[in-house]
Amino acid sequence: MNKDATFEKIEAWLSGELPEAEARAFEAEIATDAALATEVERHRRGREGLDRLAEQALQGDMVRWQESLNELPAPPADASPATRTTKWIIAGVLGLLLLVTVYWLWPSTELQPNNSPAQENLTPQTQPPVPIAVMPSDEPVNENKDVKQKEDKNSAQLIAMAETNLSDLRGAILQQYGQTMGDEDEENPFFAAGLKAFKQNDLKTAKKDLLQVLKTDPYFPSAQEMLASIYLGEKNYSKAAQCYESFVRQSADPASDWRLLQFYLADYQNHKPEFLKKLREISAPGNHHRFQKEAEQLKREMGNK
Amino acid sequence: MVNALPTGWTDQLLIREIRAGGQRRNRAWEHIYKAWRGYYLSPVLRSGGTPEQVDEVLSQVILDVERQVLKEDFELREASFRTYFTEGIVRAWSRSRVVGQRRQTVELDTQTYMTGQQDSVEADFIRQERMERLDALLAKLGEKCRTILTRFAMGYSMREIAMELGYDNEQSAKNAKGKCHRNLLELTDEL
Repeated sequence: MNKDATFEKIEAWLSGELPEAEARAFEAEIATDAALATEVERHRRGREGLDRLAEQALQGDMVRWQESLNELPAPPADASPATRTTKWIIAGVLGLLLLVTVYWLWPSTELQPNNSPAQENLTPQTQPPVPIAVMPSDEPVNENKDVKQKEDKNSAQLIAMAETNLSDLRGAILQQYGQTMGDEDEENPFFAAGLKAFKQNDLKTAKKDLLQVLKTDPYFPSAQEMLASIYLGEKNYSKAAQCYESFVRQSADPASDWRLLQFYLADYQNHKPEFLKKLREISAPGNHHRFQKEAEQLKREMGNK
Repeated sequence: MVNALPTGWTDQLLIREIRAGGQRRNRAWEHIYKAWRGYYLSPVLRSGGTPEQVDEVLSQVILDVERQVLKEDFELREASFRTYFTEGIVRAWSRSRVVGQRRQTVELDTQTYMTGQQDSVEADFIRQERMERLDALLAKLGEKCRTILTRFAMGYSMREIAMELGYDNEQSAKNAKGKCHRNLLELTDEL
């Protein structure tokens, strides 16, 4: 392969643009060719430079945006008011057609006096929202039994690795909520009580209050995050992973991604596919994940187990 | 989740435009920066932070969120895009304060820093120093290379780059980019 071709191939691999089979073959080549591996490392450093240039450009843009805060950019042409008007006209015509259909069908429904056709037609066929995570029941006896069974199944080594990598979680949460509380957080008295108890290390009370939060709002991310930490402390890895998974769906922080991987690792028996998928995702060179190197290291450690 | 905004932008539209890259991506971020500003500043200001501190972490959060959005399986579930974005800002701001405190502490005494989350703060601290070295290296790039590589890093297509920077065609832009990219690698060898 000539120099240019190698250059292009490394860039394509780093961008995740190579087809799967070709990417695997290239990775095998990197593993056996030290010179190629060095070159790939150079390109990785170059990527850092490119990312930094994009960031600096954004910072420049933000200075300009700051000076014209009231001038919002127009949405793309296909979402312009004219297009939306057309959509409303189409919706109106369809609505009219629906009304005509209902008019034609109406006499037949009147022949069935025991039914309530109007009500049946008007009741929306909506499903209750599916919670992000199936939350644990409040029955401590079953829960403890479950904890014991799950703990027995998991490999002690993997759990130890995960717990080490998650040792900063509680500190991170305390740091986060020691400084900020969102609007929704302040409005929820159970969360406020749960947070207070969590800060005081009264984890039993914190858990009770945080579970109350989820009864009214199963999507409350901050409560899910703290519960994950509490379940981790209780060595209830399955529920810890469920809660953290739910939290991560509403988080953009790469550190959360990395921690979710650790929760999957702690509950490897039950979350093996999720663990492997997340590990691939974080370690994929094209994703430029902030924890890519840590993920690669974890991969190597897993290979040694 | 559809989050209809009075301006005509929706969550789906913003995500689509960010994925498109180039100028379309820039307009989407401009909208987010301006239209959501009150929303994402609020929790930080109420906790004693300043808009300047938010702006310091904003570009990194935008790039982090963008990486997530570019993933094929990215989808918003229960949270709106605005909530998702704001949460990222609050976390980044919170962490940046610890890094800032640590910098002051390090100047006084290298042994005195202790908090509950040394690992991630330590990593952020190292990253910050690496970034400063990187900035010094990038400053050595010529203006033309800097512009072309910046556009490339922002997801502009070669066609867009050629048009904006006045190259005859896409191939000429690609050749220029290749040359600049090699210059960049030589610089970052020193990192």
